[in-house]
Amino acid sequence: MDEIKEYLPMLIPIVVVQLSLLVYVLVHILKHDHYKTGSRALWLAVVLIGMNFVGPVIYLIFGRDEE
Amino acid sequence: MNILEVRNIQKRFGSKTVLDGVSFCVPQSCVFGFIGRNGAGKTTTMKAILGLIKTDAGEIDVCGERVTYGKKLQSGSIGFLPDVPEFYGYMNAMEYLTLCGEITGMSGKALKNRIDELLELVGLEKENHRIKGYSRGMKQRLGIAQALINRPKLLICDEPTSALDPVGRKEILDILSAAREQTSVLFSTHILSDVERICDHVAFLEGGKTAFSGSTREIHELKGDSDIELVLASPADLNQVAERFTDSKLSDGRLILPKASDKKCSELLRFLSENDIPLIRLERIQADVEQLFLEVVGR
Amino acid sequence: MNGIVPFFKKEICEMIRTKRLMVLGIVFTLLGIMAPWLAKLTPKMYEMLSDDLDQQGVIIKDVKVTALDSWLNFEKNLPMALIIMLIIFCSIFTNEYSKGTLIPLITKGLSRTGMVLAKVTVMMLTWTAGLWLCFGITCFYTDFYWDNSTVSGIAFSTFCWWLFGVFMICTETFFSSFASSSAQVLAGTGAVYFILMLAGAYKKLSELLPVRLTDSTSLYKSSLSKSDYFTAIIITAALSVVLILSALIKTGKRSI
Repeated sequence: MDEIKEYLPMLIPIVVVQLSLLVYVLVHILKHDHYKTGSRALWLAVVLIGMNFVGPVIYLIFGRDEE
Repeated sequence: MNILEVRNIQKRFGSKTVLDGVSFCVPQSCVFGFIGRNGAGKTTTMKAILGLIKTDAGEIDVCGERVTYGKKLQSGSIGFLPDVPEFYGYMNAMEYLTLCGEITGMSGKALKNRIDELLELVGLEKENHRIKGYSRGMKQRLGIAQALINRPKLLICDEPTSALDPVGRKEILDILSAAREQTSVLFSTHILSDVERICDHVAFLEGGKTAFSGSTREIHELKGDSDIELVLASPADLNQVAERFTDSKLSDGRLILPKASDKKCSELLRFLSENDIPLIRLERIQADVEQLFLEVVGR
Repeated sequence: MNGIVPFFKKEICEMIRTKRLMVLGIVFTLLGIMAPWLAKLTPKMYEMLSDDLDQQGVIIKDVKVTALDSWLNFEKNLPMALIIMLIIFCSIFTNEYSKGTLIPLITKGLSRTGMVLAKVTVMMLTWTAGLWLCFGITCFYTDFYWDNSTVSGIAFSTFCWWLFGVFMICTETFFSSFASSSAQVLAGTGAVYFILMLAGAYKKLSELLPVRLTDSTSLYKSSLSKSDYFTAIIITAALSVVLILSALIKTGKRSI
């Protein structure tokens, strides 16, 4: 238990940022049907499979339509 | 005084000559129609007037000031509406006009009032959404507003109506017509009815040259009689009419009287009523720009 | 320079509303946390792997993690942050050219020089804020678990990275001044990055090139001193200025 406590100061921000990022990106994908490239299914797969924050960030850079 | 004087400008892109001596003048507070087929060089001429491209020869004066490529006019006196205007989709009309106004050096209350005035002129005063949701017509209207923001002496519009439906077209033409009180308007088009509706001066562009330039009255004098199209219930009657009017042409159930004068038209009507010929349709074919154009060019 | 202030405000608005600022903020924050996090986890991972390794005959004794490991991770993360930023910015100019959104503003008297400088300023501000945010987070956690004073030159090495990033932004601006698509900009910028890395492998040359600035490891371990970086710093700064000036000239001649 003490060991976990030691990790908490880093664990909490990581989990919070990653979870909110994941939720934001998932909602964004489901609410839009136009992407720069790719389809909804592709981006859902990328975001869910992509290692923790890598998937969402890849979507935000390459998939999200800015207009 | 002329707001704009274009004298004999020439422009080549590689080996292709796009402009080969274009000259015309735009007087004060008038709506000037700039007519030509697609690819005739309308946009090139306009960009040259704006100093966005370099011309190979010729002179352009705006309000007596010479236009040079890449240099800004001291008076900042031209407003421009591109053919497919694109704005920043993440802004709303108010924010975009504020940006435009601040670039021209306006600020504060004066700018705010000017924006309100323009939004009302183009009918976007109740629009709070971001520009990304705008239709073509709304973008076109916002385009006119941004072009007028610093009260330019000349407003240049590149095909403002060609991509719009009839309703949108009428709106834009009304706005341009209303803008005449503030500025001279030069707009390019290939739709003749637009020109007839609001222009008082026109120039025809063909083969990189101004084929004609003058007021609309002069055009009407040049414009000859138009064709008449006749459709009758029975083909036998049609042949009868064709025998009487020898210069007419028969084509798939229709009879066309080319270049019919008013006299000839009444003659035709008299002939129809005397012989009790039942009629389906009788129509004067409005000369489209191509026809009128060829007429003007080949006069 | 006419219109530079309103155009700069427009760029800031664009950064926020197109969510570019948010994406970069998240990337820099996460990469900042990841550096000490991975260092902290390293002994745990070895512990978990130790049984397997034992069977293979590899015996690991107590793995000691120090502040240096955290900073080495930080250094390894920075190229990732820089590349993501360069990808996000690769269309900042070309989008405006291809859509024609600049035409109304240029015809209203916005100077092209002002336009380029406003965009460069926004990119540099983003990079500055992002990099030092990332640095600050790593700095805080590393000092929290270990001791920053055992590693030398952390601020100076981050400054070197900052300058390298500025140089890459200038490179991207240079390619944007004549390229017709964002893909071309990205390819050009990527090629410069790649060629620099290759050239950096040649020891004598590497002292003079901007890549020298990315060598933080030698600074951390004190195998190189600050003065060994000065030539590269001056050359990089000079190259950046040259790139920006040529971008300004090329943009001035570009038909919009």
